[in-house]
Amino acid sequence: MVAAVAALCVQGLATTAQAQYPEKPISIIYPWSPGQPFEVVLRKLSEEMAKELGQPVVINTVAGAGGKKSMVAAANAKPDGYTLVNNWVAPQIAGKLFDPSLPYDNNDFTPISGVMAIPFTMTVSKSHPANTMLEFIDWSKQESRTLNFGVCAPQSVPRLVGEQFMRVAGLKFNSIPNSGGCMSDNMTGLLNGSLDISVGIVPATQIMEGQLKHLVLLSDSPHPLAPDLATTKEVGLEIGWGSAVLGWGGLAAPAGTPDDVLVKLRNLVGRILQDEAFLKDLGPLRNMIDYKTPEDFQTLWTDTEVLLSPHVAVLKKGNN
Amino acid sequence: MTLRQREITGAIAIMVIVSFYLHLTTQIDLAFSSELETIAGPRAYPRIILVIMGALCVLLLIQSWFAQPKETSEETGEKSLVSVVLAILMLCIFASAFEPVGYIFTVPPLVFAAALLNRARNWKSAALTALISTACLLIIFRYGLNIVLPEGLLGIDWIF
Amino acid sequence: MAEFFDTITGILGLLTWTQLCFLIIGVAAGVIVGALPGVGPLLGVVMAIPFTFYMDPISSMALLMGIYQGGSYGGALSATIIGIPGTPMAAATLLDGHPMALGGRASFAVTLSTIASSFGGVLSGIVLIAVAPALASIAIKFGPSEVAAFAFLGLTTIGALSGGSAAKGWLMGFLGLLIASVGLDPVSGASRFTFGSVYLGSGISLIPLLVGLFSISEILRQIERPMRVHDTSSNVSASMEAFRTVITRPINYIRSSLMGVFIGILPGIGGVTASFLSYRAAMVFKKKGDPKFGKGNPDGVISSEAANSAVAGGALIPMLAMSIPGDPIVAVLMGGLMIQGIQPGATMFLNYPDVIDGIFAVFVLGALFILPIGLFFVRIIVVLMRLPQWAIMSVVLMISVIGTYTVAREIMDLWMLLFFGVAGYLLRKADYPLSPIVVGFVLGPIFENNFRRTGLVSQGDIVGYVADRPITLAVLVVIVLFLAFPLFNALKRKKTNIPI
Repeated sequence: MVAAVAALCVQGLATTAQAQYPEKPISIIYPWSPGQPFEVVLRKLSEEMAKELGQPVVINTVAGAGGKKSMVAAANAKPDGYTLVNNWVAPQIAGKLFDPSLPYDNNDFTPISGVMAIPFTMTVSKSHPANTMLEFIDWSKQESRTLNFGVCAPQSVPRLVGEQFMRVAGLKFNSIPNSGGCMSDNMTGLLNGSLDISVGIVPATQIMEGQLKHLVLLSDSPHPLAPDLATTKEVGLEIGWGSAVLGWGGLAAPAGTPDDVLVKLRNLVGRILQDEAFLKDLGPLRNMIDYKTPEDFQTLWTDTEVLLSPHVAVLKKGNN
Repeated sequence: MTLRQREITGAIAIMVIVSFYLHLTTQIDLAFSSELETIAGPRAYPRIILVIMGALCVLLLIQSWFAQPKETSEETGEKSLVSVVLAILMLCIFASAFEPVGYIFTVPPLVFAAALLNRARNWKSAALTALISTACLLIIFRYGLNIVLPEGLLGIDWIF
Repeated sequence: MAEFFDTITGILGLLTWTQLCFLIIGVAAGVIVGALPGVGPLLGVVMAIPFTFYMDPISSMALLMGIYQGGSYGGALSATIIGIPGTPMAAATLLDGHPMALGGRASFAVTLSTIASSFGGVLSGIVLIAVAPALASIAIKFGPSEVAAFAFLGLTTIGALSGGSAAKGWLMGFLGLLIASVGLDPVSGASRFTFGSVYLGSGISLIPLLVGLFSISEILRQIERPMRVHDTSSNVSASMEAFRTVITRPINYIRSSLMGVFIGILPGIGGVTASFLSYRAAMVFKKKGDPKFGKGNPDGVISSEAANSAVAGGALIPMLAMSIPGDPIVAVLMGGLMIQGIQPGATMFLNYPDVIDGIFAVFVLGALFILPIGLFFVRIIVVLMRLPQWAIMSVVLMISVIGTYTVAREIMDLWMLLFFGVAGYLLRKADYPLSPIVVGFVLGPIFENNFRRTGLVSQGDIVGYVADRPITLAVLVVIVLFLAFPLFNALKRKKTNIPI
């Protein structure tokens, strides 16, 4: 028993000396409930990281409250490099803009790298007469009524992006938020006719092939996930943030993580995400990968905040 | 207490909770609510539920007031009520100790105590049940499902 | 014949070995928990839910539905052998099964129940496979007003028909709705009843609620008042005589199973009513020369068991096609699907056709597995059934607590578990039914989302909107009838004098 305690002490001392990071398993806090494609990507990435680091990298799901629980957990974690977080725009930027009282902000996190980005689209039911965005706008002019517009969660990025597009397109709309899985509720609404149009995301809608169609990609440049889809620029309606894809997620560490640990992780993740073999292994999911250097990733945080905050303000004022 | 008294106490307790929650609905933030919600906005929806609950409580109270007194169900012995309170206390202690102290030091005592409170034959068989079942569950989680249970005191963090 | 084998291999081909294993484990565990008095299939499914968090959807459903099916049958074992229905559904089986066991014919009674359960399950599985997709293809056109109306219909019937007084049932159903409303408002995103806590911001989790209400409160109740068990201590094995008896009564099998399926489809009525109603029907068609009902009539055992096993298939139909659970166990199964990120309902048939097929395959196979498990492992199960109650309950406590914690590794979940355990114990003491809480909780978000969507989609003119929708109007009329007919009350009071 004494020997065992002594052994534990020695092991413990070695940890403080930071002999060689990592000394024990690393956990990545993951914010969504199981069954999403993001988890597959993250899992592959963590397996690859574990191979290089020689320690297991485990995914620790802390789902709930639109991902905010994960951000709280990460902000409170010890900044020793053994707890990382898969940070997403929804809880980190949008959630914070809607509810400034949340106990975290951008300064609580240090970027490691941008990992994924999912572009939003405007989507209608397959049976809708319009086949392009411009046809849809014509159609709605003939209908001359307020359109029922399916958005995702009430305080979400897709809602902000989608509503901005509807305003730019000059469409009269009535936002219908939902609390369930963002896409499944929108799909149901489009199929049963209670929604005229909804915001969508390319990967989710691919599952529903044959039921829905995308009219436009909410970005100025085409995305590898949907190379043939018309962009806002091609349609002639610019939503005002160029080619930025606002549905991003990446890896971050709690602020205060030692620099040598950060450098090691940044180099490693950057190398994996640009490795052709790794990308090939992901299959169709590779198109979700959007590697960003730590500097670019951090800039994206502040850019997104600047881009989204006026739209949150519109929502708040418009309804009071 | 007879069953009828307990029914009435229950209905009154639920009434109290309902009025407290009705008060809480006034604090729900309306900043982002849609003006189209004429029927049930963020405050109205929970209020509808609460008002119906309150009405049902009143109905229940009236019902049990006029109902024929049911046959008196058996009284709870004082000793067994003490056991129930002890069981709740035991679970509270367990919940506060589980993460800091760890699986191995908290679960066997919990099962042991639960067995005793459930009138185990003797303390030896209770202890045996506790040890065997805890070990089985640990093996299932650790090696079957690959889930690590809290190590608590056995973890390295304890030293520093 | 060749075609038949092709179909069978087709079904088997849908499942992996892991999934098949989980199904067998599920059925076996279900038979055991069903046979243990004071545990039962609902508690069994509740205890298994945390483990499914780490499984694929079909494995998870295999385990849970196996427990559901095995548990519906397992009650017959304890009803027959020790004279206590392990589940309320087996109460009608007891009427004739226990006298048989007392007369030294326990093997005969158990074999009859086994064949009846298996048959009822398979038949209801066939109805499930035939009806659910058809219903789903209609339900996909349902707008928010229809879904809200159906969800409310489910709530009213369940509240009205779940034992005790109707007002209590409804009160508990609405309590479930209230618990479901904790968290973020689905339309505005405002926090409701969260006391500023991010933990409550994600709402009350299903697992601590369920395990607390059913498992912890049951343990507390048994600590207060232990369960007494009287044993007929008979030896049990498969009986050839039972097989011969079965062949001569095919009509009873089919009639009872079909009654079970249809009662299962109606939300809220459930296995207890089904087994008693088909027992009544069997009394009407009594065969000459059979022993009296209540004195060991084989048709009594067959009708009750075939019906209560067939309820499972029926109850799954509205859950899968319309996300409206037909009984509390199905509400838990639905929670199990939602844990997997799958929202049951018409779109599930489009988005997850493989999971639907897997569920169908698992259901039919599960019903078939009851036969070998019931016949060949019955001795082991009988031994387990005689384990001391204190040992069973302390192990149930351990599994409940650890299972709940591991789902999210969140210590707050343990405190919620404790909270709902004490609340459930107090509600039981005051004779309030707990099942409607679960149904209300599971239906709550569906009802609220669609109810409030109706308001938004109609753009302020909700009356005009609903007036244009005949299905919504029809369902509303049925709801009014349900609420207005005190007749249902009278009916219920006769049938379900067994506490659920």
